[in-house]
Amino acid sequence: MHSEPSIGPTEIWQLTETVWSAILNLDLAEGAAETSHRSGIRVMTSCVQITGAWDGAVVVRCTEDLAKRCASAMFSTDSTTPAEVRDALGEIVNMIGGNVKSLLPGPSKLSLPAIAEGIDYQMSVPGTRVMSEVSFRSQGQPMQVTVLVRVD
Amino acid sequence: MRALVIDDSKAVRSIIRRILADCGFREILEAGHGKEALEVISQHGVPDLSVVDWSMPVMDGLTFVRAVRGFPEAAPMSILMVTTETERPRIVGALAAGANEYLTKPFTKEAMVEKLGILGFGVNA
Repeated sequence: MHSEPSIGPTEIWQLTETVWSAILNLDLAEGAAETSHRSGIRVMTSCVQITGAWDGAVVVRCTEDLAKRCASAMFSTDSTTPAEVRDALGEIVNMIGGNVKSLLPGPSKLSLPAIAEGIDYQMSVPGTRVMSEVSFRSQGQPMQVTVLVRVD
Repeated sequence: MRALVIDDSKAVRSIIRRILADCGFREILEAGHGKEALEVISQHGVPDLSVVDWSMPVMDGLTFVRAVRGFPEAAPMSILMVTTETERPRIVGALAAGANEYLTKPFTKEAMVEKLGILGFGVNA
């Protein structure tokens, strides 16, 4: 008898906190559960998929404002381009996703990151369900990190 | 000292560039994937150090390491893999292919400086 591999809120918190402290040096705190951001606010979503011995995805969703602040931290400048903001958010989900992958059965591969951005939109990965999700606040802005697992 | 930073993320290249500059590297070249890195080396010569991501479009880091280690003139170049890949067989594979050291993302400046020290690069940070 064996249990299904699982990533819980504790693991998501630790991995995200490591990225925030090592790479961004920004504040990070627990946030209220928010299934959607306030209407009218530009939101960015980054996603990497894990395929192989374990199939699923990792999604980071935050306000465009927070994504810009993350990019500013990574590029060490107050002035970043939209492409640089997408690049930064893609790398953040890549780092969190890569470390999630390391906690799950292997071998598996991590996809290149994908980014969505806009106002009042939903993003889904068909054929998956939420394994775990943690809401954070950073720089006064909401953010969610979600681990999705493929449903057979 | 000359370095080549190979990563498809411009943000990561920016972070690594700042660390290398603090460590005394005077010329730091960049490439967005392995194929571009081979072209940079062809144009600018072999650097003292290449910092290589694993997962990149066009040509990934492992393929780059295998390719560049095929050139005798690149033998003195140190290769530091910096990547989210943590599966032991992959790390062993990268080292067997010719990488000299391995650093997992996310990394701190201190961790990278330590790896550079292991590779024999004088550190002024």
